[in-house]
Amino acid sequence: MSRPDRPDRPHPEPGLRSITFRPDECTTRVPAGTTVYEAAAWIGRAIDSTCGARATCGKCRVRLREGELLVTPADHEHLNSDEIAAGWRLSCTAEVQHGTIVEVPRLMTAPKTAMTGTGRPVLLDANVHKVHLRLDQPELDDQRSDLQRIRDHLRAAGFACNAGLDVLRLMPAALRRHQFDVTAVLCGEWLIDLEPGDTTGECFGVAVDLGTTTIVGTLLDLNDGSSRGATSALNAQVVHGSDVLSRISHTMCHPEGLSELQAMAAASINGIIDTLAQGAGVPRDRIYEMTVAGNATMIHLLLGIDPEPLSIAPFTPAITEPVFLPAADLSLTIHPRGRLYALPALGAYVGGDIVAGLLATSLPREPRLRLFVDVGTNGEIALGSDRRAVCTAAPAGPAFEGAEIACGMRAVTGAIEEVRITEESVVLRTIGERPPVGLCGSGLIDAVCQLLRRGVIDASGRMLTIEQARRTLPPSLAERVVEVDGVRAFVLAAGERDAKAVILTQKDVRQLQFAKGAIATGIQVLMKEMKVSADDLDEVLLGGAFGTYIHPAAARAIGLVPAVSLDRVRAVGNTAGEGAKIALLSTRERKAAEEMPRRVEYIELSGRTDFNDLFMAALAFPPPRC
Amino acid sequence: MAHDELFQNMADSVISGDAGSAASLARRSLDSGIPPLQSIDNGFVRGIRVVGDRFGAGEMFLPELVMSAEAMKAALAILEPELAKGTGARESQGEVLACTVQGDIHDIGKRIVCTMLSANGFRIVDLGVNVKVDRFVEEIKQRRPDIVAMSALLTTTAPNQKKVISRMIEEGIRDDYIVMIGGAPTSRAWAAQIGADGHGENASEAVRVAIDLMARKRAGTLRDAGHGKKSRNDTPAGDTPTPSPDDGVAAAGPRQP
Repeated sequence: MSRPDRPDRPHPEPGLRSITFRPDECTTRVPAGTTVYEAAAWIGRAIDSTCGARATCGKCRVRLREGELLVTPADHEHLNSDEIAAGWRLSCTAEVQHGTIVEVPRLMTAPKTAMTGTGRPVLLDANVHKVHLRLDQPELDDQRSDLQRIRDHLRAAGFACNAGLDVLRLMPAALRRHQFDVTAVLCGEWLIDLEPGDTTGECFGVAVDLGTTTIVGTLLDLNDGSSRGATSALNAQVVHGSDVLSRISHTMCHPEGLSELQAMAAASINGIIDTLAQGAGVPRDRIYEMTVAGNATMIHLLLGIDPEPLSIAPFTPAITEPVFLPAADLSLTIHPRGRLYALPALGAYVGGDIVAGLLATSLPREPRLRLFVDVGTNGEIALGSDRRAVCTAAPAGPAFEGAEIACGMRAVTGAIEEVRITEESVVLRTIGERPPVGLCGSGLIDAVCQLLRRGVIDASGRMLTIEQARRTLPPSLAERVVEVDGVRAFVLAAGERDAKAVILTQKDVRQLQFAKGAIATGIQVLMKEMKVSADDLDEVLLGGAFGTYIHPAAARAIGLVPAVSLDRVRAVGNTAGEGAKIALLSTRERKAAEEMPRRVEYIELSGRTDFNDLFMAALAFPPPRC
Repeated sequence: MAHDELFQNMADSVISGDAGSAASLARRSLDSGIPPLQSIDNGFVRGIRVVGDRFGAGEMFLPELVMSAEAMKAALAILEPELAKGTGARESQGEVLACTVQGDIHDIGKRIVCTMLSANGFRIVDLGVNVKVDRFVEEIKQRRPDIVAMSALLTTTAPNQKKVISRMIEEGIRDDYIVMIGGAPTSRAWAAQIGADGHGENASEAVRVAIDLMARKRAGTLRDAGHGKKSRNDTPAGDTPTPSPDDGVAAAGPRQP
C-alpha cells in the first residue's frame, strides 16, 4: 500500500478513497460518500457552479473516466440520457465510493481569484450574491405571489432562496416602490434584502479574527476579493483577565458575567466594523456577511453560550459545529439582516482559529508533510499532509506573553525583542527603538538562546553561580551575573538614570522551559502518533503574531521546534485572520473548513501515559549545534 | 567526625540525585552501626531540604528533583526496615491525604509536594487527579488523616477547594483536620477566604507550613490564631481566587493539559 515516493509514511486511512482530477492529474483521498464537488473544493480545484452545490444550476458537471459514480435524480434533471451514458455527472451529487478518476471541463469563464496573505490564491465564490431583478409586474393573468416571482427569477439565475419574516414584511412595498426593479441580496440561500435598482456593484463582507487579546478585522469587496481596509483593536474583555480561563471564571462568579462578556465582544467587533466602514466609505448596510475565526472560548462568549464546561475536565464544548446566524442576534451591526458565519472547532482547545489556520496553510490538503505551531498561552499544534493529519493543544502557560517572567511584558513599545550577546557586550533591540523596559516573548527566547551559547546557562537550564561566572566568563559578562533575593539573574540592561534594570532570572528560565517543554512535548506526541521524525518534515510553519517575531534559529536552539534546517522553518503570520478571509471569499473553502473536524484527528495529551516522561525529557535544552 | 563526613556525603548524594551512592552510603552506615534514624535526619533529610530550597529558587529543576527523590527513596528503602526492627522507629510527621481537585487534571505540582512531604517524614496517600468532591470527603472520613491537601491549577477549579471545605463543615468534620491548599491560582489570601489552614507557595514552603501546622496541632494551638473558626463560618467574600502579584507557580509546576 505504501507509495513508492514515500515508503516510510503511514498508510492512508482505510476509509479513504482516492479521486483524481484530469487534466491536472491531481489526486486526493476523501472519506467514502464525499461528493466529487466537495473533494475538488478540498484540494482547491475549480469546478464551475453558480448555485453553490445545491444541485440547481446544473453547471458543475464532470465526466467519469475510471471507477463508478452512481446516477442521481439530479443528473436526470439536468442531463440527457446520452450525456449520462457518456459518463457525465453533476459533481455536487456524485459520491465517491471507490477509487475514481474524473475529467473536469475547462471553466467557461476565467474565475476570479483573490490573493491572501498566505500567498494562496483563492477562487472567488462568496456566499453573498446580488442579483439584479427586473421582474414582470403582476397582471390579472399573472397572479404569482411576490415571493414566487422573485424565486422564479432567481432559479433561472441558478439560485435557491428562502425568505424570513422580516424580509417578507418589507417585500411588497420594496417591489412596488421601485417598479419591480430591485437587487435581491442573498446570503447563502437567505434572501436578506431587496434594494432599489441595480446595486450589484456594492457587495461587502468583514472577516474577523476574534483573538483573546486582539481582534483583527478586514473589509473585503466580495465582487473582486480585494481588501478595502484592515484594522485591529484590543478585545474589550481583557479587563476581566488576559487568558481564556479568567474570562470563563468571570462568567462563573458573576451572574451577569456571560452577558457582559458577550456585549464586550460585540462592542469590540462593532468598533472595528465602524472603523472599516468609515475608512472605506462603505455604508454598514452594504456589509452583508461576516466570518469569525476564534478559539472555542471566544466563540462561546460571542454567542453567549456558557463556557464553563470548557474549562473543567473533561473539557467539553457546547458546540464545535460551524454557526451561521443573523448577526443582529449577537448585536453586531452590519446589514440589519446580514449573517455571521463562525468557523467550526476541532475541540475545546483547538478552535476555529486553528481550523482557519489549517485552511490558510492547506496543511491537511497537500502532499507535503508539514508541522504547524501556533505559539501562545495554549500552543496549538497540527502535523500532517493530505494522507493524514493530527492536532493537539499544549498548555504552555503565559510565559511567552511575558507573564510570570520577572521583567516580562507584552510586545509593546520598549519591550526587548532581540538580544545578541558577544564576548564583550550585550546588544538589545527594543520595539520602537526606545530604552528597554522589559522582555517580550521573542526577546525572552532570544536572551535564553544567547545565554546558552555563551555558557551562562547549561543544557539543563541552570545558570552559572557568581563565582563560576567570574572563573569562566569574560569580565564584561561575568559582572552581569548577579543574585537578587537569593535567585540568580543575568542583567540585560543595567537601567541608567530613571530606567529600571531589565534582568533575566533563573526562575524565568524555568518558566520558559515549562512553556517550551509543553509545546515540544505536544510536537513529539504528534510525531510519534504519525511515526515520523524531524528529518521527514518538509516544513515547519510558525503561526500567530508570536510566530512572526520569533527568530527561527532561536526557536530551534531552545528546542521549541524540532531540529530541522532553518530554510524549512517559515513564519506564516496571522493565519486565523487569513482563514477567516478565505472563508468569507469562498464557500468551497468554507466547505473544506467544515471537513477539517472529520479529516484532522484531535489527540488529547492528558489522556496519554507517556506525557509526563516526554515532558520531563523535553524540559532540557537541546545540545548546541556546531 | 567520620560520621559528619558520612552524613555530608549522604546529603550530597541526595542533592546530586545519585541513587546508587545514596543506597551504598545507607548500607555503609548500617555496617558501621550508626542508628538509622541518625542517618536519615542528619544525612539524607538535610539533603532533601537543600533540594527543596534550591528548587524554590529555580536553581534545581524538575528532572533533578525527581532524581533527588529517587535517591532519597533508595536510601529509605534500606534504612526503614532496620528502623522497624529496632526500637527507634521513625516517627511519622503526620498523615497526609492529597489530591488534585475535581475538574483539574494537573499532576506534576501535587506530586512534587507529595514527594517533598514524604521525604520529610510525612506519610502520604495520593488519590490522584480530578478527584470528585464527594469522593474526597468520603476518603477523608474513612482514612482520617492529619492533613487534607488539595491542589488546583486553574482559576476555574480552585472553587472546588472551597466546595470540599464547605462539605467538611456541613458534615461537621472540618475541625478534625488540617486543611492545606496549593496551586498557581491560589494564595494565602485565597486560603484565608475559603477557610483553609495553610497555603504553600512552593513545595518547600508546603513542607514548612505542614510541619508548623502539625506542631501547633500537637500543642493544641491550631485553632487559636490565624484561620480560626470564626472566619470559616463567615460566608467567604468571593467564589474564585483574586489574582495577586505573588501567585507564582513554583509549587504548581507546569500547566498540564
